[in-house]
Amino acid sequence: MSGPQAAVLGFGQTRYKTSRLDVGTPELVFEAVSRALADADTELSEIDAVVFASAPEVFEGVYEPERWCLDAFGGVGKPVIRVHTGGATGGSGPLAAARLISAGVYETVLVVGLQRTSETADAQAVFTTIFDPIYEQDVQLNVITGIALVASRQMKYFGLTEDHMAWISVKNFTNALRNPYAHLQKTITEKDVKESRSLAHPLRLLHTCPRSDGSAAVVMTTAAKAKTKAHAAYVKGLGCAADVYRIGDRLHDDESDFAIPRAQAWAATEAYREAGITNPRRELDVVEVYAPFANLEIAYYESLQLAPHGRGIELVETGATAMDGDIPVVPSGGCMTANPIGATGLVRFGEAALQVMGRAGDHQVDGARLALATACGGIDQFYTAAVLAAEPD
Amino acid sequence: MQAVIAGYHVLPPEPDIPMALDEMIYTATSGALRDAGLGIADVSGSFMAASDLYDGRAISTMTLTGSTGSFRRNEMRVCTDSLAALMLAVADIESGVSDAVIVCTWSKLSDADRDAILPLGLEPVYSRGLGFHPGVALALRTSAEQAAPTRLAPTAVRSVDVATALILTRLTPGRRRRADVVGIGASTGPYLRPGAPVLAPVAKAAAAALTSAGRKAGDVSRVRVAGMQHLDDAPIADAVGVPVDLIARRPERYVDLGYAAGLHALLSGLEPPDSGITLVIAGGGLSMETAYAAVVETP
Repeated sequence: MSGPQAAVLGFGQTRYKTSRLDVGTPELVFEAVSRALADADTELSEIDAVVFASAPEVFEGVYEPERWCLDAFGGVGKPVIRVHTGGATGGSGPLAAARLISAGVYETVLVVGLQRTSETADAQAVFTTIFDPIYEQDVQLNVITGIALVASRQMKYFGLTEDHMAWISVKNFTNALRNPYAHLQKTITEKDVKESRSLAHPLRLLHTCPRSDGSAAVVMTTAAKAKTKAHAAYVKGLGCAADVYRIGDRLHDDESDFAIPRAQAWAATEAYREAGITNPRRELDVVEVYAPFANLEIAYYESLQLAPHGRGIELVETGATAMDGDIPVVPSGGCMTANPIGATGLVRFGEAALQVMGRAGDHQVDGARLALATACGGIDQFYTAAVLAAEPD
Repeated sequence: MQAVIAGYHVLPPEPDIPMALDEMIYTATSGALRDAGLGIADVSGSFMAASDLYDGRAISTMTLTGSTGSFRRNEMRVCTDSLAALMLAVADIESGVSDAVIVCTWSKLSDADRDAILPLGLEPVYSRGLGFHPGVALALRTSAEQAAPTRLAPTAVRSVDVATALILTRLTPGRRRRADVVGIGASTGPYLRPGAPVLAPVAKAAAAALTSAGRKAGDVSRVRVAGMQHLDDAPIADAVGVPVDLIARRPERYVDLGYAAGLHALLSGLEPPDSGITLVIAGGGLSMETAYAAVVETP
């Protein structure tokens, strides 16, 4: 980037639940935004523009839900842009804001993420409408069965087992116990995971994320302005990439064979290049990856160059991604313990910012100075990656 | 600010274009690349504006990575007017991240029911349940603004299909240069709440775009209007601060181009090219609460 560096001043999020019956949708947004503004020590009058990140509006049951929530995020009188890139929406929001800041279009931008999945009776029925209505919907291709196919490929090619996936689930649920905002907060064992209900072989209930109502918000500005504040995280690199829709077009490809999400690798490579990172495993201190399924987190270890091709399972076997490992992944508990879809990528981004600011509370990784946050959407199709640092360039 | 429109292509709006959505978009994006003298390898991202409900699916862009040109590239989609997609594309160019990107937008209302979609924008309990409609919202706000009941003649707005794309690049010697985007702006009004002029967001967006271009309303030689079918030229000209004869609209005013309206209005000023400085404004929402603007100059 040649323009001003972007920075994160503050992060706010709601408590996540399957159904937040205690608040309406605008109130949910207000909860996150007011926390973000307070955390950023920023007045609403300092916000120049708003990027609103929310995925399919069918979840909220209101067309263009940003308008409904305008007063809740203080959007009246300001430019508001809604972005929607499927599940990657929460990653696209801060990316758009960072570019607007670096281009000098706006100095301070509020990014708001929202998803209220409980308003729809059947979230999977909504997801299913992304597929071809004739050939695909009737064979029950959905997100769960699609990712089960990925897991099957990982088992076939790279030795993924139920033990590996169970370890990921236990790690993430244990991490979530230290995060007061996590949706699922319970102690589980590998036995619990292996005995949980089968969804689509080899995926079980405790390998997957919940559906959550929730909102998140970050305040972003220029690095120059951020230096005047008490705390900030600095955007070092950003990446974004889309894969083809048809899964068949991704098979028999030396880069992935559908077992390893290649578009995540493309997005991360771009972010690393911008950040000047050449050895992510050694240089990154913490990773907040958007992995809604246990097997995907292991696949991402490879996409993100934390492990060599086909050897993601070694990070599980050595415990490297646990809180006390050398590269902790999702210390917040991650997407597997809270998934307000369109906001989830923004939560990862905000959590990564907290880590490098040293303000992540009980799930802080000691000495974290460089963090990676990702987001994903579709069936392994849309990806973003963001590198955040404790220090400006 | 200076981002260059190197090429463009417009698939003219028709009630039912006999093409698959993919085909419509591919026609627009590949035509724009050809017009710019560039290939797909020359662009690093695709900035889109599209509505899931107008396209009849939960993630309308999911099946379209080939035709939109976003495969293995940066994909950014807005669910607001296409001038917002242009704004993000300009930011990508201006921040030095990209050298050339695609901006594309489409609407395939022949696959959807416009009358069923619009009320879904209303708050579901108090407003939608009463049979409220965007036309009613606009009439009520206009009444409040004028302190007198306003009768808004019901006007049939036709549904059409459309696809449009342009190639936005850095200013590069030797590269095609159809027009320059020299200013952008946006603003938002309150949701279903009177108290401010209906066209206040339009006025503010236009002023912001002109300021970012370093221009004044008096410098503008043409104002291209997108959307706002129910509002006459005079109040729009008044809000923007230009003589009414500078206002230009498409010949078929009463059509719904969806999020494609802004880009379509912009590109209609390039064939033949408007001389001087063109201000493009797009107003939308339930009662004109969203507004985007761009200032374009032909070299």
